[in-house]
Amino acid sequence: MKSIEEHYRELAPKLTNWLVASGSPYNEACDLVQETFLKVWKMKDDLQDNDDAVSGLVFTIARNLRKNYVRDNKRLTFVADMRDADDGGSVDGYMTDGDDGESGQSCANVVRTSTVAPQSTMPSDVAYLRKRLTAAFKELPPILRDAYTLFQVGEMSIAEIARQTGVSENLVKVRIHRAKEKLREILSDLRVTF
Amino acid sequence: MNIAINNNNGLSIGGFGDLGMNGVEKPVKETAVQHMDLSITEGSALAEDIAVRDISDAEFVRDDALGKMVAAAFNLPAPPMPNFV
Repeated sequence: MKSIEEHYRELAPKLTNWLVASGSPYNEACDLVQETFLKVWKMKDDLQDNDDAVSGLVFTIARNLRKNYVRDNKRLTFVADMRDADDGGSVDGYMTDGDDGESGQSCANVVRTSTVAPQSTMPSDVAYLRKRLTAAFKELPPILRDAYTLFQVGEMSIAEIARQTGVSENLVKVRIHRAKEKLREILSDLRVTF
Repeated sequence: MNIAINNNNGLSIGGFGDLGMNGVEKPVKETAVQHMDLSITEGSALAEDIAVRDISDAEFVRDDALGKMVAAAFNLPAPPMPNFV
């Protein structure tokens, strides 16, 4: 049985990025990831010898927490996210050391504690790509978005997604395929060969 | 509209014209349930089998061009580990 710390190191980056891809601003995703793992940790006695269950459980808890968060705040995270982006304080704004705005404070220390290179060294087109992709994901029907983002960003297997979403593996494949077709269409103006 | 089962390639579909794969599941499922005495579950499974059979396995790799773009864009660091005590 892996320790909770090992699970965190393995799953937290995937979960953080999946939440952002699903429309959560980065600082909200950070809060949700930590809250998710605290809940998993409280359930540790029920998870003994069942490492395989942890991945599915983590994504399920995070999804439910996010739904509650959106409902409780009575807002559409995506609208807020895009507004922030238009104000120059996008998801990536949370990542810069120079961002002293309130919205960025909760994750400001992430850059310093992370092994990932600081945002300032990352190419600016990554920020643009993330904005475009987040917007494109929002255009997908939720079942297609979930299937594709769990597969690509959450790095879950087809079988895991099928178990998570309660549908057949074939249907998961169909949904991933259709999501990709739609994304290729939406992003066709980008000079990338799909 | 009919569904024919043959020995060569498993299933072939007639009567769907240019619907394409995206539009095929619902009529397949309805036809299977109404005319082939399949249960709704069996009809759904049949429709899903048909929908997925022409999708290349290459569609399910993560390092195609689209996947690489997504991976580059969503490479944000996780927050610091909470104190599990």
